[in-house]
Amino acid sequence: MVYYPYEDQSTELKQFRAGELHWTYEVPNNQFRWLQAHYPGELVVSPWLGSYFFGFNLTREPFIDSRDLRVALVLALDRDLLTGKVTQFGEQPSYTLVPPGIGEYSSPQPEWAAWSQAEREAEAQRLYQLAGYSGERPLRVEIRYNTSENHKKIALALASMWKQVLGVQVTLVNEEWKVFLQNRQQRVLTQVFRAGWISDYSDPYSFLELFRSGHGQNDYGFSDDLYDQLLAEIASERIPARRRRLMQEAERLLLEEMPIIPVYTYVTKRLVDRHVRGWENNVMDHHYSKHLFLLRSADDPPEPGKNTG
Amino acid sequence: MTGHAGILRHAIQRLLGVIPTLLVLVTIAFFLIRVAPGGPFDAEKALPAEIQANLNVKYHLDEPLVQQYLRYLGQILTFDFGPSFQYKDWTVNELIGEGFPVSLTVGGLAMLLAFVVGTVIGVTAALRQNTAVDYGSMGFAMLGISIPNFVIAPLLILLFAVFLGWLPAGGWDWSLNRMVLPVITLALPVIAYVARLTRGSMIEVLHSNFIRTARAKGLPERAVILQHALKPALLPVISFMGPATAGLITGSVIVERIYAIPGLGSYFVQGALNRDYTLVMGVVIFYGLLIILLNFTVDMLYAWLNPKIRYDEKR
Repeated sequence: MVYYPYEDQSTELKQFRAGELHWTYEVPNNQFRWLQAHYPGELVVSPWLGSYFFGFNLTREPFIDSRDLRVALVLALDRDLLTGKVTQFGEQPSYTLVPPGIGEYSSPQPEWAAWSQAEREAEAQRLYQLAGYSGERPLRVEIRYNTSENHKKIALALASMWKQVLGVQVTLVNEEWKVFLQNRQQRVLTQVFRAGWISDYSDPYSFLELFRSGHGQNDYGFSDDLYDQLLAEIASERIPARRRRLMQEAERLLLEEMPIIPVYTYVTKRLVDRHVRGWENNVMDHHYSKHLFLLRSADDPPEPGKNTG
Repeated sequence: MTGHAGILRHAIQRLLGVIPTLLVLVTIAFFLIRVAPGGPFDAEKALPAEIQANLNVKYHLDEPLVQQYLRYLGQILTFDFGPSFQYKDWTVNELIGEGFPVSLTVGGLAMLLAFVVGTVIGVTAALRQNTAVDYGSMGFAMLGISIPNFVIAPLLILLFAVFLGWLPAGGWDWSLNRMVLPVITLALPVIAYVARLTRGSMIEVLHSNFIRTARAKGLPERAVILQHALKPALLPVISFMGPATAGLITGSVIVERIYAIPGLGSYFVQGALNRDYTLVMGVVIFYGLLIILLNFTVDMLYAWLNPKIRYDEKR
């Protein structure tokens, strides 16, 4: 088994099309329809253990002590429209921090997760007014993201939905990766910024600990004594069921305060040759080469991989 | 004899002039990369402060900038570019040693191809001035100059690798058939430049007096072109080739990306994006040295090609 490094997804795709690769790590973001039409049997899209979201800088106006405003902005985003029309690869709309698929853990869904988008927008407008903003006195805010076609499309969609639903005036700022990271960490310039987390291990704690007071990646400036206390308890709790409940409690508390704008759950998207067998999709995106083998002739379409979670 | 001595003296003078040029280059690059926001060890998963501090001590990033600068100057005097910050376990010397042979091969072949094909097209067009051959080849050259390589490369891959299946779509294993497409991609715009330069100066040379004399002597046309006209006509081509060769053999980022070639070009960009200070510095100095060296070679070639600019003091 040989692994080749690629910097460019279209190169990887062309190598696959030329029959030189049996599976690709990624596919170009903007070619979903084409791939679906030409490689329906090879295109494999499967949930990944990662969340795409935006963060609020809670240490800077207008987001200090402004839960109403934050929730309004979270509600005004139409996730179904975004994943269906903008990202297009079958990403799952998300209303929580922790993605689904981690053992027996299930995230506490906020009540608006079950609402229709019209209801969410009505509530968003109510909260926006409550926070002291209106058509005459609109919120002006910056969305910051690191340079990437995909992040740009998503930030643009978010900005236009906010404008449409609430009349928010958004400025988009894109920055090179290292500059972006530094600005996020310093919390001096940021207001709303792109964030996301793909976990190294299958446990909600990996997501929850990002919001502990003083944590190295707490670029949100989120700080809550009860939350920190819960994290400490989770770290020392041995009984799985109790630990899960503590984690649910922590996530509920976090979603109550809303330091983030959940957007969607990441998916892995790649091409897998029809001859490759032993392929099993899983949220960790781990594929052991010892399980994979090539079938010499495979005219029959392969079984779509099952999500083993 | 005086001519040779003059060339030698000139060569030594030029080589001494390299030192201040390099010093300026090193100084500007050293401070510019450090002014850029973010550091080599910044990542989404931030490092604990103690580890960050230890890393800074290990790589001397905790010292005042001037001290770092002087340390670096001392270090490069021995051609030691230091360890890479991003590719741990690798020194910058090793990275350049891995990447440069690849870029040199692809770029060198492209340059060779461009020079041969370009001059042949240029000379042919000049001899058939204002005919269909001339217009056709110059039209082709214009196309070659105007279509960027990030358009040509994917088209070539689609045609020759995906549809026809004659050549691999990319990758690198030092085999000739993996070199064909990247070499052509790199060579195309250079062929175009060389062809246009050759045509222009060839036409000019063909109108000069010494060519008329040569023809008047009754020399066959072939001898007029090859022995008398070609050498002076190549002068502008030679001066273009110096920096162009340096550019080609240090690797094109775009071509390396598209064909997945492990050359030197991507270190330039990745090094800068990763704030891999030592790697960027190493590649910049290496590139600078190459340009200086190639310009020097071009000057020496000039002296050989054109008797009018022998580097003699008695001029």
